[in-house]
Amino acid sequence: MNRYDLNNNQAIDWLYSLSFASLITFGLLLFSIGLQYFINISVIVPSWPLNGLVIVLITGVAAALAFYRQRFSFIAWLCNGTTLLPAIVLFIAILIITVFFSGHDVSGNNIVFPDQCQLPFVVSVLWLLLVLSLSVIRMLFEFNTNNIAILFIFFGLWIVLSAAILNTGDYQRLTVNVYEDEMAETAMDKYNNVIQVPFRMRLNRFYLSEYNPELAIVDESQGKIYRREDFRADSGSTGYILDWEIQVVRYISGAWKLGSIFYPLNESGSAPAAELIVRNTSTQLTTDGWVSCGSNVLPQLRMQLDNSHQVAMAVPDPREVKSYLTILDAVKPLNIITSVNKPVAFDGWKIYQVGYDIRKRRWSDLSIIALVKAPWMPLIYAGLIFILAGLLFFLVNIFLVFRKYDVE
Amino acid sequence: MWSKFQYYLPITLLGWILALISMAVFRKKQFNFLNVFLVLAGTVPMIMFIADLWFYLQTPPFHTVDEAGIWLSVFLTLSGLLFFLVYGVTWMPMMCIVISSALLIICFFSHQGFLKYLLPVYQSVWFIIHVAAYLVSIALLIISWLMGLRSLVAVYAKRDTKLFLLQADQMVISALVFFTVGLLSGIRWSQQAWGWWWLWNGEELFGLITGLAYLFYLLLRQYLPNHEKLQAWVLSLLFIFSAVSWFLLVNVTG
Repeated sequence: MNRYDLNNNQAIDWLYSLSFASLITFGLLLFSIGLQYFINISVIVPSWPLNGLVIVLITGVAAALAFYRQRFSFIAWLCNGTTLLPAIVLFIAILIITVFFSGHDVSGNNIVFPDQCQLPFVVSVLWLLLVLSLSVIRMLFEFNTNNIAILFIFFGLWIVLSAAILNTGDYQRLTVNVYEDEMAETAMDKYNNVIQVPFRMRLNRFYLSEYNPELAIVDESQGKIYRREDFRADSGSTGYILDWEIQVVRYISGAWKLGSIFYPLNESGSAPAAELIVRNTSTQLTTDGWVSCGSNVLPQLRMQLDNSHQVAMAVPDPREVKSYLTILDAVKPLNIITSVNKPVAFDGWKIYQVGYDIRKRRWSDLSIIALVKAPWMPLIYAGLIFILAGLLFFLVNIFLVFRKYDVE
Repeated sequence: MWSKFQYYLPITLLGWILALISMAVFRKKQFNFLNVFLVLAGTVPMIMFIADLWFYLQTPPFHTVDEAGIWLSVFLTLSGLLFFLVYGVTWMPMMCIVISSALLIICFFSHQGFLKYLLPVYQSVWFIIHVAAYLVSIALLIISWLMGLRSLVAVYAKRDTKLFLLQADQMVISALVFFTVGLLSGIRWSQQAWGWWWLWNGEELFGLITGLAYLFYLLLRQYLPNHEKLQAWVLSLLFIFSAVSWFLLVNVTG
């Protein structure tokens, strides 16, 4: 690992490798872009076991090549870590070209996962994988404790890349719309095909709590909204916006309007409402009244201050969203609570709270659940931990080199 | 609460300006104590503001661009100070202070403020680790970039660059350590919140490109040890990637 002790032959070897690998990489770039241009196809990442086979195949080829590295010097050049340099450049270049020049993301469309990849991307990923495999296998053949940092980083990268290929092929995501007291029997996959759910679920209750909403002054003539970041409709609080002092007499999170007054009634369709006293600090004129952001049943209500200014209530932000579900296909019915950031695992799937009827907000009787299978995630974490370990080794090593240099 | 920033900011800037003057005038080792004291006299009030904000929000303030900017300025100044304490280089903390001051002034005028009422997806410890680790990583990358520029100057002045590049290496590797921690926690957060682990959006894409580009630099150092001019150029130019990442982040959050 110590760069300053290397002999001249090795440095020249590395230059040969670099030039050779750069040539191949440049060729691959031209070839893949040309191919994409002429036979515009996109590759779908296969699922298990085919994706595993691709990785085994590439690693196998790498092992075979690495075995004969002493026979042919160009194979020896390929097995060098140096080849990774142009491979990284190729990968970055293709990412930038596809994203910035073609206006696509790497997947070629807007599906968030690149399970339909363009050819140059596929070629650059596979080339990176081959080069990584070659370097790792060579380093394992010629194990040297000096190389341990680079070995860990390369091996970590190899794991992450392989796991990413595996996970892209095997990732499953189903969206289930389930209504309160009803059972979900169908789900939608990522191409919006309706399929049967892997296990039946009943939504017992959907729960959403909200923060108190923001109060703002709307200037209709200029189409501007003025707000104070820490001013919310909290009972008893006072806020100052523009020339107005806004005093919140009381805030009701669930209210119904009777005549011109709101009364607390926590029933489906009720809306947040606040009673305000607003004083203009320059004219001392005082107005009072109600504001409400409305609900799917009640209309929005603003409070007129003068010809162009109104006080308005923003739609409250959600604080906590969760679903009380019963899984019916378990050994015996299983009650679970899934909330945002706290998915529940069942039968290889993870159950996520992803949405609700945004029109009805806290009165939503619909809960949108995602069922996700990402079987190779542990490998991705493992790979990243390997990279982290390699970097830490590297750091220690560089400090040692530095101390040596400092002493000299 | 955000209005308190206008009281903390002048104290910080005053401390830092005094530190700049002191570092420019008193370069000898016996004044180290004074210099460190002045840098801290500027930085501690900003840390107190963060603590104040944290206490008020009852969650670590990591959710808006302004909050991130304040953290970055603190991380950057402290990293610069550490660099000064380890290597005795006075220009590094000075540059860091200049950049940090600019960041704080931008924050003061941007009026993004803070976010108290967090949407459920942001109520995650992984998100906090993710942002904090990335900010430390960016601070260290800024220092490595300054070292890159220093090496470039040394290359063209026909001076020895070995020392500068070795110091830069330490910064780059430390930055990559935090970067990897940020990546791990970010993937964990995204997986817990939505069940995605990687979306090819601009922020993630450029994050990945930045990580790979700095790995490229490290390998360049490893495999082409005698091409110091090339290394210095690469290190100086690579910062473009992290800068783009930062602006994308600002855009996304903004």
